[in-house]
Amino acid sequence: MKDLINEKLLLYKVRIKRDPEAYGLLYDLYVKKIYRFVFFKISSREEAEDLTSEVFLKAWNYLVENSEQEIRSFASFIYRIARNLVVDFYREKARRSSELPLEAVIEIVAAAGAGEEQRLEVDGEIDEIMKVLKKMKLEYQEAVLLHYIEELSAGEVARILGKSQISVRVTLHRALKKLKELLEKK
Amino acid sequence: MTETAVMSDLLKTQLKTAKKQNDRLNPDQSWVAQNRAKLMSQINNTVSKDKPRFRFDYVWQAINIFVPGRLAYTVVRPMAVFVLVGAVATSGWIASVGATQNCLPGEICYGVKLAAEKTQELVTSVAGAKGQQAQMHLEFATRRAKEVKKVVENKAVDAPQRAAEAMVKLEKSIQTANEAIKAVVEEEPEKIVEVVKGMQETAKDINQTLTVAAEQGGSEVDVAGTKQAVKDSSLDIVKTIVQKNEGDGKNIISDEDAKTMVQTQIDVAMQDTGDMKSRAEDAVKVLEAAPITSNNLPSDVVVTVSSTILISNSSIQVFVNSTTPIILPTSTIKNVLGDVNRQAIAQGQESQKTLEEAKVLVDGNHLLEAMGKVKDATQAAEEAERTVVEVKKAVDAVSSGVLNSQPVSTTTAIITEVKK
Repeated sequence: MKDLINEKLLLYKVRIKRDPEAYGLLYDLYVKKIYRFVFFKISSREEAEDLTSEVFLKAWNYLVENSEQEIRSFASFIYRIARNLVVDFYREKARRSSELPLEAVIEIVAAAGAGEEQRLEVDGEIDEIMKVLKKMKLEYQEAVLLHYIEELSAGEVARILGKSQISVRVTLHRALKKLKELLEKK
Repeated sequence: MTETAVMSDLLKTQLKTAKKQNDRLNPDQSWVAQNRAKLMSQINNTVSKDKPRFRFDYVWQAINIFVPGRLAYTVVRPMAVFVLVGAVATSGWIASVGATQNCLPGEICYGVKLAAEKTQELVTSVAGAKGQQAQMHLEFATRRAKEVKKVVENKAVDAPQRAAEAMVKLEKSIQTANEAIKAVVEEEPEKIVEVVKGMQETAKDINQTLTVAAEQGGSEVDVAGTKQAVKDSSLDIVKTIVQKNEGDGKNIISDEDAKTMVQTQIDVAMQDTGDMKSRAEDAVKVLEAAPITSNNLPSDVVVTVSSTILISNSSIQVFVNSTTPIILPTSTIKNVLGDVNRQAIAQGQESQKTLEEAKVLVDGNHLLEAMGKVKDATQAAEEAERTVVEVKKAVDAVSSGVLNSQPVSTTTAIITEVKK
């Protein structure tokens, strides 16, 4: 609760006072989480670093330019920006190679890194779980990553993914079941 | 506990610890520090030295820090609005309206701003002066138009929805002003010249403001219906006054004033038609300058057309209601869009001719007939304007060579996908 109040206070300072120091503290709180979220989807350290930087710069610009817009949670807000930038990243990548429909882009995002397991060398059970998770569909990957790995509440995950809480709970249940099945097959 | 449940718990625990145990998932510490320094330097450059102005939202955001989310939205927020409305109702108008004047649709203080206006409306209606009421509603309508423009300038994600919200309210204010002005005709005819003059100026301002908003907001902000409502209201009032003046032989205003009113309507319509024609001519020029084939623009384009405005043109019936994409050379698309635009320009010229005829009728004191001509010309120009707006969407897509950056999932876009 104390952390949440502190985070909201920092957000208030950024939005109302345009305080860079307060934003620096929010950066400290979220940079690793956002990097992990992006890296998990992109699997390239350099590109994940570039995108993470872009996420924070874009978030600052939005916060100071739209101070009248309500933002209920900084976590939901910053993850949504990250999610959109990852989609843009793959859309741009797809556009450069050939014109692909959005559905195909989504599939590429979901499968990103699935064929690059060599980058995540097998190093025990955790790596095995991460490899299997990357092979699951995007919806499951995101829900598991945000809720179980990053430990966000179902409500926050719902806001990030633009779904209802009930829908997120159902997705989490199904994703966990699927993950278990896939691990058992290994 | 079943074996499955135990496994689920184990898996959840493993997932929770993944971020700590798997270093490859985490960023390099030196990068985190370097990136922080770079970010701080970038954002420090963007910080303005001007202190942000106070807004009611800031109070709400401050409350939101200490009150849990759900409680804040279900209990505190309605209470805050209630208290603010109370404060507005009991304090002076100047202070309250001043504090909320920057509020826009979608913001918490916007409700307070509207409540303030509602109270103002109530006070004015009790005072009973219809002319004053009409002027007040015209002022509200002008505010709504400025809100539309500001919402579009702010480029919020939901700007089109918020602009639409303001436009609905604008139309309502115009309708109420219209009724109040008609009451002025009956109850305070001595004030009608002044009130109508104010109305015509307001309609002109609103029209210009909405046009600017539409130019900035692009295809998603549709102001045509609202502009039409404002113009129709103005025409309706002037026609009512002219009818009354000519009808029972007992003039409520002098012939000279009546002529001036009609002449003003003609001038406004002439100006609007001229502007519309200029926009259409610009679009044709842009279209003609667009390369037919280039690195950005393929020679063949897969199109689906959803624009109803194009139905009016027989030469492009082939596009209409097409649910499956059709492959066409870009040059054909350019020609078709150019033709439609040229038809709009021709329509504009027709409207200008009709307005010239109306001027002659005014000179001959045939004001009612002149108003009929103005209405016809305005309607024709409005139709042409809609065509220009629709075609501009397609022209922008074709000419800028950004066809392939259109969202691929947007089925309503005129050009949805490009294949070389």
